[in-house]
Amino acid sequence: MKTAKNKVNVSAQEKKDPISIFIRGDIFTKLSFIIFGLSNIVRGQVVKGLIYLVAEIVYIAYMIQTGVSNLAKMTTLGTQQQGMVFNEATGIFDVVQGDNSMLILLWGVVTCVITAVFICVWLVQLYSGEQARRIQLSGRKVPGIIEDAKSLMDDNIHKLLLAIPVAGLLVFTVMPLIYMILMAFTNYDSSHQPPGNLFTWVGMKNFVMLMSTSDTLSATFWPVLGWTFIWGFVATFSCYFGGIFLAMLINSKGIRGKKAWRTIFVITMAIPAFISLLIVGTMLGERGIINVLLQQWGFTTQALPFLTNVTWARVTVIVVNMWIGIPVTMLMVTGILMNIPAELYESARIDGANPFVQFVKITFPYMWFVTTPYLISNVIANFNNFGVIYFLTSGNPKTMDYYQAGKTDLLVTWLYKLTKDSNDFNLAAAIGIIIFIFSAVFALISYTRSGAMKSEEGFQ
Amino acid sequence: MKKVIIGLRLEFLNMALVASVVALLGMFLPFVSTSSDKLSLLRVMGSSWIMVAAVVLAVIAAVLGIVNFVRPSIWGVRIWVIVAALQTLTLTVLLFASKSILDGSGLLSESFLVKSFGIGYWLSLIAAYVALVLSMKTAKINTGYIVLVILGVIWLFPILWVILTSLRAESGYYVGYFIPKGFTFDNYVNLFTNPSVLPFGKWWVNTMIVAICCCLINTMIILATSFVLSRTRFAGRTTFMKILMIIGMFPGFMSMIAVYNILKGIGLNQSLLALIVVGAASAAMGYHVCKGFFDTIPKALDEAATVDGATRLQIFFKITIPMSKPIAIYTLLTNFLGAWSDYIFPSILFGDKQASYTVAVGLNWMTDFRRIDTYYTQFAAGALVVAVPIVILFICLQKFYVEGMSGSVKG
Amino acid sequence: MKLKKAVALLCTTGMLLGMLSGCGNSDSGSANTPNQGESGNAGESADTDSNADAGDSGNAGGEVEQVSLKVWVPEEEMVITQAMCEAFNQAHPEFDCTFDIAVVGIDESANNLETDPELAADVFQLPSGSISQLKDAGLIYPITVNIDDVKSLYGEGAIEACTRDSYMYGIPFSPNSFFMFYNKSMYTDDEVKSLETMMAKDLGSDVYNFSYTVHDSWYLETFFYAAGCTLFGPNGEDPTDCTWNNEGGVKAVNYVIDLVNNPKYIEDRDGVAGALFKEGKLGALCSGTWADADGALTEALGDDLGACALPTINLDGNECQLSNFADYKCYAVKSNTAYPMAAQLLAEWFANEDNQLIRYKECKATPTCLSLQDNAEVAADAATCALIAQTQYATPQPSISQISNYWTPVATLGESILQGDVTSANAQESLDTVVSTILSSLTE
Repeated sequence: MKTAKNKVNVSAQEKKDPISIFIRGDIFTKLSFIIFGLSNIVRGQVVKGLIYLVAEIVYIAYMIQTGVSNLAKMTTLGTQQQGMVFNEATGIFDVVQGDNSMLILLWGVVTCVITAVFICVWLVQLYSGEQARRIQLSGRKVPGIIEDAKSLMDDNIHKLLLAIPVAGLLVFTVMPLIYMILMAFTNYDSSHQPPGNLFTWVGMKNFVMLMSTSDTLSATFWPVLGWTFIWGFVATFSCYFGGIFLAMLINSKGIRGKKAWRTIFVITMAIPAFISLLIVGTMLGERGIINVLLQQWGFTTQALPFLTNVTWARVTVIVVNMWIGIPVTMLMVTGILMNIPAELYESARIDGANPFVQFVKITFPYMWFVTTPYLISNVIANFNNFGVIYFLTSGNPKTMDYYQAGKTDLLVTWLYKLTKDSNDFNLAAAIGIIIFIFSAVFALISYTRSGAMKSEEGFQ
Repeated sequence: MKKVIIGLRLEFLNMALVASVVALLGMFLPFVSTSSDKLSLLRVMGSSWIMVAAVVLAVIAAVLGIVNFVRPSIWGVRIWVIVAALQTLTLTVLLFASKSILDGSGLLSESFLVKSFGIGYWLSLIAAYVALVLSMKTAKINTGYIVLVILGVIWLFPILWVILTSLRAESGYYVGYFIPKGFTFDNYVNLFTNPSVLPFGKWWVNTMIVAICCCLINTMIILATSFVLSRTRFAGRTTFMKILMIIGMFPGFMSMIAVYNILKGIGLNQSLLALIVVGAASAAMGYHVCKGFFDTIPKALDEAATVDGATRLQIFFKITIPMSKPIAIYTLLTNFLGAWSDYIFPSILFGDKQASYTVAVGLNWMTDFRRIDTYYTQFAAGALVVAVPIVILFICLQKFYVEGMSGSVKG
Repeated sequence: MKLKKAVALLCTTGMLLGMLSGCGNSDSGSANTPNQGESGNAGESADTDSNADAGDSGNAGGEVEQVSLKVWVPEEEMVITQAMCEAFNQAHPEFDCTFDIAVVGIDESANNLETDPELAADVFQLPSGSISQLKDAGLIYPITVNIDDVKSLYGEGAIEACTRDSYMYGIPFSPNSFFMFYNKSMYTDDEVKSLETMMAKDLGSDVYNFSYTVHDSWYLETFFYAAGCTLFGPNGEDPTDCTWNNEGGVKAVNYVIDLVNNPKYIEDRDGVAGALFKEGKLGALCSGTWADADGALTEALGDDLGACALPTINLDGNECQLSNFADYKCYAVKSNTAYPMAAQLLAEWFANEDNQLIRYKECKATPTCLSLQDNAEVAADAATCALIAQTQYATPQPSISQISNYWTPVATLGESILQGDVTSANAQESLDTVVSTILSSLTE
């Protein structure tokens, strides 16, 4: 947490690692390694010390009650399989409850996270006790609970304001994520379904299977990954340029009723995406209204395979995604366009630049510079764009080359199908991790290359 | 002899006139040319009033063009633009309507397809568009309107379909026609009058409660997080931001079953409160936009306030928040939208507790393959009822949305 | 620096939160532990004593057990289920039951049960095809109370569909498969017996003769079974055997290819067939009772609405009967129910003769009770008779878990036939791929 930056200047007195605290501390400091808050209590910070102490007691009570057994069970993920014993007296089976590997894994993770928090508390109370000791040594007044509380409103406001977000993230995001990551190293698949069966640790086997050994899996994985990348970029940039075009059109001089025009396009955002996708999906079916109309209008005699032919389906999802995505970009871009200094355009016009040159030389570079981070995160969001694919095509058209996936499936929808249709949670989790690795690498490369990670201070 | 009239750009007038005349000439060239028939527009115009209109408008447009050429005036050109627009519209409608008109007229020996349009039609169509563009330029009207109208029609087409479906009297998932055979409001009425099986009203209220709570709580959390990350410097700040970025990259719904079990452990499963809690718990990850906005507020303001003895908390409430109305409303709006239309997590959360469904879950429930044939028209009606609050919000708050976005992306 | 008090505070909050969740776990954990430790001796014998009384002698009337049961039914059966529950309470004085009836469709129950077995209903409807998966996951109960009496009510096919390893995991109350609806003004009773005759008849220029769902693997198997192919061996229990790529399979695929390329055929997708049928532009379609659940077909066609078993197809001069998977709707009991005795009795109660008759009258659910199939009222309904007739031609759906590998490749095969990707030229090749995928296993 706190790394000493200027090592040269730091005297031993100021070193802030637990060992140096232990060495230089008095008996209370030393005892506070075991009894939380003791150092605070003896130096007058009674309430604070007691809070630490209570935290310790609660933790120990929890560990004794369930925590230790949770952790112990986690090593095997359960040993007792659920069974049935026939009861002659009643004529029915009695269920013999077994271990539920999934819950064992989950509560094991919970215990681990709680332990990690506990270690944080331990460190914090050490520093806090040490601080109190040094303040006392220097002869100043040790701040009481009221002063501490006041500092939360001012210098330590980040602790006050971030408390809820951090706690929320820890419980509802980080804990489930660790659970998911660990699942990738088990054999939690269709033949090891809890509560009837146990699953256990298998190491890297799922990754190896996914990437190379299993023919069906790797024959699915690599092409689906390829399409995921194509989709991510095409979907992002088609909406991006479409949005810029639309925003510039509406914003251009002489267009009246700008607000009304924007509202027309924004209506697509008002219907929840999955509903409009389901509806558009039915419209595009072989006998859907679009094909009916195209035939009635005489554009074609045969139904067009919008969602059934591979190439058509891929183009269709991109076009429908534009229908949904362009209004969003349009709204965003509208704001940015207003920020471009009008003088730039004035001088360009005097120099005789036509609108296209103005766009290439002024509008686009500015836009590109400003929106790079947005674009990067948008590409990543599109890698994970579950809704459009799942509700529009469900990954169809199907193909015999893939395992449980269709030709428009992204990794993320394939992952969903694996959990839903074939209960291969282990593979799904492994794919989840792989998606993450690709996203992270992509983000890392593009952020460093784009130079968009400019100093935040530059804007102030 | 270069005439100048204020409000007109006469350099386009001549070309517009030429285009207008070309569009007129197209009438005499083959409108349809199949292997067996070659008919000009004048020959087939008797089969529909639209075709008559196309001919009449073409003549009027050409005449107006000539009048304006001889004696240009602002009003003259404007009327010309209107006629040209009508002419273009008519020709465009013909692109779609010709099949039904001509197949019904019996003039053709074989059935009509778009590819059987003759040179005359395409020439007229293109010339009409060119004439419209040029006459608009002459009148100094932005030609972007043409593109906007076309795009608007494309964008609203699916919406129109939903509206028509919701008013359709015949039930059924698939129908082979666009305009319903019978109109009715029953689909809307049934949504709200059948509470035992389909408590749509309750679902709607549930969603409203969740969306309002979520957007208020999430906005507070996002504002607070952004304020801290933008205005204060503390150890671990950049690490915290990096961690947020990293956890945002995992596909979230893999861990939903874990979230469900955690909620169950706390005793919150199957309740609306769970949606609010889970929404609030991950709200902080959406801090980017808001932080970008805060970064643009000058720090000098804070410093001045500090000199006056204000605490950071007071600065947050008394200075930063009042200054960030656009971004606050933007955040409210996006969070409301997110909570309003979220589907995947609520669908796992509620299970059999139908009374707690949100509209998204409820609407999807209607699309189960055993139900969809019965409920499809009600489903469409429901989709529109769901859209209403959001459309209203957007119309009212669009300005803030745009302003909020414009400040944000810089960060 | 006023050190991280807030962090500490917040950690405590986090910990407390975690604690709460931990406690939640420990509750359920401790509820489970005694059972697992003592093999259900102490905990269950108390239960079972009273159950034994109740089970052995309905007239004992001594102890009354407080029972609370949750039931899942589809929305249209809500009202009749309430009545059935009350009647159950009357008929079983040994239980004092409180019921909690919730709307969950038959297709959603398996998913909801997997998500949260603790909150799931004690008794719920299930397609018999889902039994294997849920049984393997240990989520459903083998039903053994008075089972011999119960078995005597139903036909062999129905019992077999719900039986795994010689135990019944569900009580069948209605067949869950498809048959053929036809328009009597277009086809006679004799013509609908053979698909060739049907396709050959000229019904007019804009009228389709026949519709089927080739792109769905729940429908496509009929042709292969007709051609004598087997899936997972003759009993459906051999995960290494599938003969769809033999000579008969190729004939079946070629037959399907010719069928879908016939301009008089229309693929049933997005409810197309139902709509055309109602407009009188389709001669026959294959679907289940759900197609007419809201009475739309009856309303549109009136007396012209006919129903019968699937037709025969002609393969090399032999008339072969189309045979679909035998699937039944059944009532099942979850494995972790607190009142297994009452729950099993209730499941049997829901599927008994009287209640099947009620369900037939109110919801048009075809009965499975042998005694009801001759019932005059039941025999009067064409769709019901057709469904009962079709169940005689049906093939038991393989019950091994390898069946989960069946659905996707076969649906793909159907889709590829429709797209014209599979032709008679590459039929053998495609079938080889399908078979190898069906028989493949991931871990190899």
